[in-house]
Amino acid sequence: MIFANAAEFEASSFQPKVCIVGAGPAGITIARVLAKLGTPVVILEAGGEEVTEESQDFYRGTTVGDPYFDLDVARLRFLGGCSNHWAGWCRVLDASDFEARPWVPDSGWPIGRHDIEPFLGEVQDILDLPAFEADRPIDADISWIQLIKSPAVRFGQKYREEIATSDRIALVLNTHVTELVGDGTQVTAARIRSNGAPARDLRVAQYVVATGGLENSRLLLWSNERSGGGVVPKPAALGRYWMEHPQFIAADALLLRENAFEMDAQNEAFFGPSPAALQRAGIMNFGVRLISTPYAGVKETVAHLACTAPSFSEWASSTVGLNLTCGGHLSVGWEQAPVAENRVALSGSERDADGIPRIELHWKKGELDRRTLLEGLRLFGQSMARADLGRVRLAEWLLEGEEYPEGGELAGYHHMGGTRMSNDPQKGVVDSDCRVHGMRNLHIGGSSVFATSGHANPTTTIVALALRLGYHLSGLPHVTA
Amino acid sequence: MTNTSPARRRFLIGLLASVSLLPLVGRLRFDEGGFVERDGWILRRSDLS
Ligand SMILES: Cc1cc2nc3c(=O)[nH]c(=O)nc-3n(C[C@H](O)[C@H](O)[C@H](O)COP(=O)(O)OP(=O)(O)OC[C@H]3O[C@@H](n4cnc5c(N)ncnc54)[C@H](O)[C@@H]3O)c2cc1C
Repeated sequence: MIFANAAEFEASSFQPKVCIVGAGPAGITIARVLAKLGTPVVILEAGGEEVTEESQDFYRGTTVGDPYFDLDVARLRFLGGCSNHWAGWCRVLDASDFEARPWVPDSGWPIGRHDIEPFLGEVQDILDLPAFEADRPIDADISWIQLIKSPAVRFGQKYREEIATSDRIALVLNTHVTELVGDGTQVTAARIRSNGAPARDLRVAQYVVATGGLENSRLLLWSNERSGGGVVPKPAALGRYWMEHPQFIAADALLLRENAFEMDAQNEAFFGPSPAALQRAGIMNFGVRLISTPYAGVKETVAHLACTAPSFSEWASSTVGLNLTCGGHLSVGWEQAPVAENRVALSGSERDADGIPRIELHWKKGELDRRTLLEGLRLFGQSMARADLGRVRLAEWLLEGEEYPEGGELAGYHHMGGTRMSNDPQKGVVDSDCRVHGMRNLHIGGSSVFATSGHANPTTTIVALALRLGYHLSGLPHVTA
Repeated sequence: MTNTSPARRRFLIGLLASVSLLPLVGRLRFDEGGFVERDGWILRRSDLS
């Protein structure tokens, strides 16, 4: 069932047991699992079926620290959420991403990749993915990795019909939660506005917040402030350890062997490191994207190599002929070090149309981030040279310790952390079941629960975690139909 | 590295001519793994011999 506003929903006799806040990939996935297993569920979605300026305005905010995208451009506030403009790149976090690494402070999840693996088959169906393939090692340090492309499933479109005809899911559009009310042990109500006016509080057995990787923190910070700690009773990590995948073109490559890698439809290939190489280098996980460019763009790089190593360049050109001219830029996206100071905070001065503080995002890349970029590219360049697949040239700004270039890629639009998963409430907000520490009936869906971020695009893991949460919730005694 | 044909030689001369405009900082960095970094290039030591 789909309702255009809260009044229409209230007029129905539908009695949900679970309230899901947000109809993006996480919220829709959790709702579908619950409905399939017999639980009546309501999804409250802030936006309608199309993007509007009024709705996007709620997403405005400011960033303190490194340059970042405008927060209302980096996400979409309507049915389907950011799946309406995601690119569809898919890969599950590596098994080693879940582990505690001695050289990465505050690393380690309370679950392992084996905990989400049983759900990956369903993830493939949901994201319309071909089979996941194994990475192909170039040597002990670097593999040609399989990042696969979904047709960028728009969740609002793909699942609209299923939701509209479901008698167990009520999707209420143009209706947002302004605040959760809690007593420090449970949420007692969700406070709601619909089409710009207050609506009746909603009271159900279980609440799931799935409003995206920035908004989850904002809603909980505000709710906690209003209820004097009644929603997140152990708030030490709330909003903190926020992470992105910083991303920059930081090197060029020349390939010595044509067809060394199969380029994808975008003329790109992806590479990643082995856990042992990361440990040896003492850096975060990273992914290298080879963006193949035509000869004209590579010519200067060839010329530079000819000058730096004339005899090598002569040998290479005599051995492989003009195939040496095949190459491109290397863009690196990496796992940002989890740092408590990187956080979503409530602005002291800026408020939205409801009078709720906007986001003030504190975000900076640190020393370990910079080292990951440089040493990661060194690992990659050495593997390419060792296997005689090509040669890599590091960008001048990187070697010279200059600022990151502006106007480039910056980051992946991946919003992670803020309500991270940890068994220790000092270091995290949710436990291994995505339940807020100390709260009986409040769970979180989405990448805000990521304890660390790996380098993989997040949505594949978000959907796997959402399935896991859906099955978990459906087994709780007061949720079972 | 011998046996350079006239066509290849012309190609290399052209390349070398076009790099005369590139700023050369001549940075050199060795590491233990048999690699050398020169002007940002990650090379095998044998590439420079
Ligand atoms: C340009 C771009 C490209 C991307 N490309 C990729 C990619 O290639 N691969 C990848 O894995 N990921 C990619 N992503 C990230 C991906 O889109 C997100 O990881 C994913 O959409 C997160 O899903 P979610 O359900 O957690 O949150 P969202 O998609 O943000 O959904 C949250 C929903 O909650 C609603 N909402 C917000 N506040 C409230 C409230 N108070 N009350 C009720 N409802 C509310 C919103 O309207 C929205 O519908 C990309 C993102 C962007 C912006």
